[in-house]
Amino acid sequence: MSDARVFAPADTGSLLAWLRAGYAAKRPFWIAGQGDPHPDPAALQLDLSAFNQTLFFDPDDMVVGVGVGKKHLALQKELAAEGMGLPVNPWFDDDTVGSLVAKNRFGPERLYRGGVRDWVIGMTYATVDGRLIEVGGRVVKNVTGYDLARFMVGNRGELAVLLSVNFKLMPLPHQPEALLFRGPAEAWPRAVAALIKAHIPLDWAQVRLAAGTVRLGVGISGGTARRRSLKVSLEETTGAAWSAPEQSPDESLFHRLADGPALAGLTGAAPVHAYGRLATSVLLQQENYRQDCQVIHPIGADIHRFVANPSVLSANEPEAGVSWVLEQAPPDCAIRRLPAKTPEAVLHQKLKASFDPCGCLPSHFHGG
Amino acid sequence: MSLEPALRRQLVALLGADWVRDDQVTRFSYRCDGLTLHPSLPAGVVFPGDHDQVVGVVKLLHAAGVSFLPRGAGTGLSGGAVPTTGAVIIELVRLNRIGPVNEIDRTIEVGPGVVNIQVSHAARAHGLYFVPDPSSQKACSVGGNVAENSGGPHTLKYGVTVNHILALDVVLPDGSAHRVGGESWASPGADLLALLIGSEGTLCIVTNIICRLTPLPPAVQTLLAVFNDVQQACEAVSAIIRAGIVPAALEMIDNTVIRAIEQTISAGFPTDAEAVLIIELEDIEAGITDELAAVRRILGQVGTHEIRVAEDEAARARIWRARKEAFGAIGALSPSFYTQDGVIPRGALPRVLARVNQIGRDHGLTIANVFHAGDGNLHPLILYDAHDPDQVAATHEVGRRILELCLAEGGTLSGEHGIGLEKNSLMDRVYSSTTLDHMAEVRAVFNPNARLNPGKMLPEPGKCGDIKSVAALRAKSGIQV
Repeated sequence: MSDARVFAPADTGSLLAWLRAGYAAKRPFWIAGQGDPHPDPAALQLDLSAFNQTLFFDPDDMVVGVGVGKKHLALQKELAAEGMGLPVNPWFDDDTVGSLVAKNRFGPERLYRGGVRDWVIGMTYATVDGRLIEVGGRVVKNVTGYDLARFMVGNRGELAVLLSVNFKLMPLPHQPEALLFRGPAEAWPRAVAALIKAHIPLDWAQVRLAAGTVRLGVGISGGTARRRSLKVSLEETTGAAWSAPEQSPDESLFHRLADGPALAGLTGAAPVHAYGRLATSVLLQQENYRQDCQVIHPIGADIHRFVANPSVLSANEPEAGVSWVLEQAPPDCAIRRLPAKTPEAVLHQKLKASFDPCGCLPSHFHGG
Repeated sequence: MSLEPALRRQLVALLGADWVRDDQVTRFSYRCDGLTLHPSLPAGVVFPGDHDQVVGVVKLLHAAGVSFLPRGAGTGLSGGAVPTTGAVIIELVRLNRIGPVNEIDRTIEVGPGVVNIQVSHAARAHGLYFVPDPSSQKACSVGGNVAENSGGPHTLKYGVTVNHILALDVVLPDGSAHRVGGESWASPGADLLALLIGSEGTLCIVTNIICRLTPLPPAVQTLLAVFNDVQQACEAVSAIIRAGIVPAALEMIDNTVIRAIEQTISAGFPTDAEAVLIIELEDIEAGITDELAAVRRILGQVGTHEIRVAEDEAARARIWRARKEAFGAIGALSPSFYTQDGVIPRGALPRVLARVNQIGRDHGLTIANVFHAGDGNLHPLILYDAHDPDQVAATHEVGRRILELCLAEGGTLSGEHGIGLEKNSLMDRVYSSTTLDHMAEVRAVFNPNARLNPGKMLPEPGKCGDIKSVAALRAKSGIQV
């Protein structure tokens, strides 16, 4: 049975026609997966799950083009069959390619392999008035015109309807291995500080705080000699042992950032030097979050708080100087984290007015 | 036409007489950048010394209704810093402060006038460096790198300028100042930095840059692979990538360029080779051995004639000096040359390279090739005599045909030099009119009157598709490289 409040186009033509008609009527809508629900209860939901095709995949050129409705995990599986991967592994299993890009969901590989923006090479999107825009291309290096494809990363469904994205890829890490810090739990901030200074070429790094435990883990890869050498460097640098996760419920869950899609959360970004302050703050708040989950990517200095009860988020004002965005937030949890009067926000507002003059799409950041 | 007297007085009051120039010599010196196809005299050149002076200058020019444009070192090859007639150039060379390195954040704050290589020099003591390394890195400015989203040989593994910038302080054409990005690695909202970087001075003027630094590799191996056949060299490039190896750099040099290099700097390259590949691997010591062995094996399989591994830093420096000075070395072979910049899917390299050389032969011109093979970023150098009008016309035709070939293969117009004045009339071959109109709307958000750097990147009305007449106009202008 179809839901009259949801429009699920089967193809680009019907989407563009729907957008044109809606624009003429100034009809509010929001894009499932790319943005959070529209504050206007009358707004329609745009469902792009039909846009789930792989449009091209050339492992030799290390490029892929894919519809925004394709699940991120399905894409990774398809790429892995040819030894390739997109070095971005966000935290919600249900994330689509559209979510990944529109919400700028990177993961623990941020420092070593870059974020979403570093892998986007082209894009097709529809403007709110129903024009089809194709920017960037299929080649890995391209400075032809304004880089509107990368610009769309993180727009959270405020500006346009993303339809397909072209990515540059990388070969999958050879013989990847996770290692957990086995020093005293309270020593993890010092261990991370030492890692930052030591420039050890890790594949990823992550701290996970959940159920009263703290886990610091890293990823390494390569031949036996390389991995052995990296492990020695880790132990010398931190003065503690590192070993593979066990199959216990606590450690086997290490790679999952959130324990389920039902959790809402905050993602914040801070300078790396603020990591120490963040770490202290997180430790102090552990009691508040004992039932929930917090993840820090300490070397990219982004922090993620996932909670079963979103009201906790508004009750705990995040640290000053950290920019926060909501993840999977319910409509009534309308925290606006980007100060509306920063110079950058002025530019965002001008661009929002140009891309969406009638305000059909929600505004998550700027008090819209 | 020099500066209007009232405006000149205001500029002098703001900057001092030494920093406001509209004499003939200065104006002539600033008539073009690295692209000399479209020389045009500015009304004057101003040299602000800091961010506030840039804001002041822009406000004065905005109020006077005068067009203006920023300029760095003037090494750009697409005409991004060529003034339209009567425009004022804002020369940013005095904004050359290099801030301290923040070892924890892996950042450094620099002015746009800082020369690219100075950033890595400043960071080296901390075990860090700035990845973008265009061939002109001893001369080009970081501000220019930001404007053009510059690349270089080491961008295959690590990305271009946009991947290595965390924040910009910018001045819009109305004189308003903004900080975009910050010390953290991500900001909420659409990625404004990505929009501004590579905007070729058409959206804003950059006055301060926070660069992201990268740890120096613990171990480096640089190989020179020698081939008796260009197609074999192309096949080696594809085979290395196909094997899951992403070298830090993968550069190709053909016989014409090898001979030029040996005539000028004697790097020890074999002059009878049809092509050489420079392959640079970076990792920890324990990892690089395996990768080196794998690359050697692949090179052997594709029939590489000889493999030389740089045994020490001096040998490595010799190889890179040859690569970085290759463009200049071409002067030993030809009085003039025109550097093209196109991108193709890497897998198309063998057939496209053969076709490029055939296009040159069709028009009686020699084409030399030195390029970023790993990225599929071609730099055909078209050799010609600027005093021969037929050769000038043929050079334009060859350049156009090469770009059309790149587009036909699914590639694009520019990988790192930008569009500027050089290629804006070809933009409709890449993007639909709908997309180009949309880009113009985005430009209007920042630059509503197109007073900042007019006539760049986006096609001028009526010029799209009129390729033949543009080529004719260019031919008449004469090329002086």
